[in-house]
Amino acid sequence: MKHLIFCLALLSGMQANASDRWQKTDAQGRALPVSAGPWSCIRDLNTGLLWENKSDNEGLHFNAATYSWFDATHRLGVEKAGSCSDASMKVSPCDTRDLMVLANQQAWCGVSNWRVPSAKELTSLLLDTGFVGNPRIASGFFPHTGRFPYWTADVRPSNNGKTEALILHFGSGSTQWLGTQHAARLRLVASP
Amino acid sequence: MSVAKYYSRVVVLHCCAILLLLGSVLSGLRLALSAGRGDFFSVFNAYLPQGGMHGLHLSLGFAWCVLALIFVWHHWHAPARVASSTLAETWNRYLIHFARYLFLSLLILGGALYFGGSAALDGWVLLLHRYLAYSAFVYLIVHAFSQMIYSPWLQVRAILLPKLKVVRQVGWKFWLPVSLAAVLWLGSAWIMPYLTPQLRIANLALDQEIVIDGLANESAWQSAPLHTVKTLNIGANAAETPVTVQGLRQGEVVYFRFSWPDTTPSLQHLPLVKTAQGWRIEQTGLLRNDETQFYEDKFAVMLARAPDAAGAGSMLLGSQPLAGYAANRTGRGYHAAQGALLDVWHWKSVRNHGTKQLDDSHFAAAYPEVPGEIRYTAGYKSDPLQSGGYSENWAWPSNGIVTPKRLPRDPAQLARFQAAKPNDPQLVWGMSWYETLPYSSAADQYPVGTRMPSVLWTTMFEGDRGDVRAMASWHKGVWTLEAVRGIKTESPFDLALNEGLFMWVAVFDHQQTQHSYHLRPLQLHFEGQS
Repeated sequence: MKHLIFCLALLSGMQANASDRWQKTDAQGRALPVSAGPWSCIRDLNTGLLWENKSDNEGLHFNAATYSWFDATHRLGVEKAGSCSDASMKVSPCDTRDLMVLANQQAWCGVSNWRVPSAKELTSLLLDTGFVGNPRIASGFFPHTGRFPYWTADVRPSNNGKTEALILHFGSGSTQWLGTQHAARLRLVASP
Repeated sequence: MSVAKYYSRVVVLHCCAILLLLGSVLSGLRLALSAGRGDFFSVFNAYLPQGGMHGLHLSLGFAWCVLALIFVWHHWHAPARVASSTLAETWNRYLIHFARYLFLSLLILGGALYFGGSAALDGWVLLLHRYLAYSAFVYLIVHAFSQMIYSPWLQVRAILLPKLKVVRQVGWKFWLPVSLAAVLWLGSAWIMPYLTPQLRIANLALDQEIVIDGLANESAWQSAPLHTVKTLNIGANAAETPVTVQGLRQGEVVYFRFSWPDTTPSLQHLPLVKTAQGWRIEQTGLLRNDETQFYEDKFAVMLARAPDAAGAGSMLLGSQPLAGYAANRTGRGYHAAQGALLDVWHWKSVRNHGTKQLDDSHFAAAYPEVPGEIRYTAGYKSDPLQSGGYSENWAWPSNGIVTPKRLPRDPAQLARFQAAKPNDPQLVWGMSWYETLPYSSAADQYPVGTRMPSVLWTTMFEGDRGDVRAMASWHKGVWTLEAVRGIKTESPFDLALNEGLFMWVAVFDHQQTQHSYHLRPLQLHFEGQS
């Protein structure tokens, strides 16, 4: 019984900590109370990282938009092989660079250093909600997250001479290398 | 029988009666409070027990029946006493006579509630049961004080602080029936299935067709066995809603037809209204998960392998009935099935409109609270969804101004909602997602007073949540819901529709969470199947 009580207390503490970890912010980056909404970004108070919030409305932050993986600086990956819409809801082929550029141009949530998260950073969002129908994330703060693969910045050359990037699946919680020409979802992050 | 033995038995019986009375009154008060019928006793909300009170209250009722029999047997074997005619003794005698009738009435009413349904006599039996229970509690106190005329505190102390020797003094002839009763009490869960009425499901020939349209005008429905379940919504209006249920099996699928009276079809669901400040949700209790006015009609079917009262024991009452888990915002309770899975089919008149599906859901053991989520539903979840469904037309609910998620592509789409008559059965308050565009202030030129649906339909459910095909229609004061599902599905959140499965139904008459219910389930019985 003692063990059970300890486990319950630990679980309760973990849940409370999970709620305390996140802070909603508006599109200008101003902090919002936990009970307020809607919100544009979520700050991880443990690491200082700022995460993009997704929307189920078509637009720049549309949750179902997909992107091919492309790094313009190092000319790695494949351009324009996903499908996304910009702020004017115009749907076009796009890649991970497009969302980064547009978010930085907008100074989304008051910052202009949006980028694709590393696998370690994205994995830090994983949370087992206890129900397979939910994505493995604190969905109260990260609504509209799909049980789908999301791109990370981790990249390597593939056997066929092309490049692969690591994806994190928010349904299974597992990672996998995927050719950069494929379409996957994307959630941007900004360092403090 | 010696006087010492007799009084030892008096002490033991009184101890049992006090414990049962306290348990019955406390669990009964929780039941009443959770239905918003706690009267003056609502002030004790924080001190009342929480959890599966229906099962506890019923099993205590069963124990009362046994105790009453033992009391009768004990009374017959009482030693002769010299009658006294003092005023105090006469008062006591009449008081005890009163108690006999009081407790007998409570047991009869309790039995009527269990076997006749909680809706017996349109809620009057329940009301009488509640007030007699209050009387029993008052009696306990008056009786204790009245006994003091014999010996101040001696009797009260003997009962409240019994000595161990009474256990020996009562003798094995007393303990034998008490032990048998205890075994019976503990085994009452085993007895329950034998007290459960059957839902006889007829066979349907493979060449006969049932169209899922909510009309139920096929000839097979005319001949299928019909069962009526009386349900009662204690909290909302104490109104009885009889639900008729029929089933037909055709090979590997089972069709069900449910119908219930409703004079006012509610096809509005939390509409938005434009004010001088912006759009506002029309609601009276949404933010505490207890909307009772601007809400669609709903209906639920629950299937379980166990027949325990009140949805296989899944109704957990109180603001925080599970230690270590989050509270609920209604303060009334939530559903969770510890150690079991209950299949729940939840039909929603607006949100499920047009897709010929209902929300396939379940009750399981309480899930952990997900950080940031505004409503904790314990063990209740919709089954996993791949895509499709519906969405509310706001990004975040609020008591104040909300920004709609989307606006109609063509403003003329809203015209039909402006002159809508209340409870118009032809006007369903929803819009197709694909006939709308993301909100923009430039497009928001609607005049103050404009009303707009808040339900956005996308596509059919893809995934476990769409396993049940269903459609309902309202005609001349009656809702009819037809539903069909395979005997088995691929979903781990569904139960196979096998012989012996137990079924409950619930009606939500434009209520978000308050619904009618019944205690005893129906048990599926497939006719002509071995």
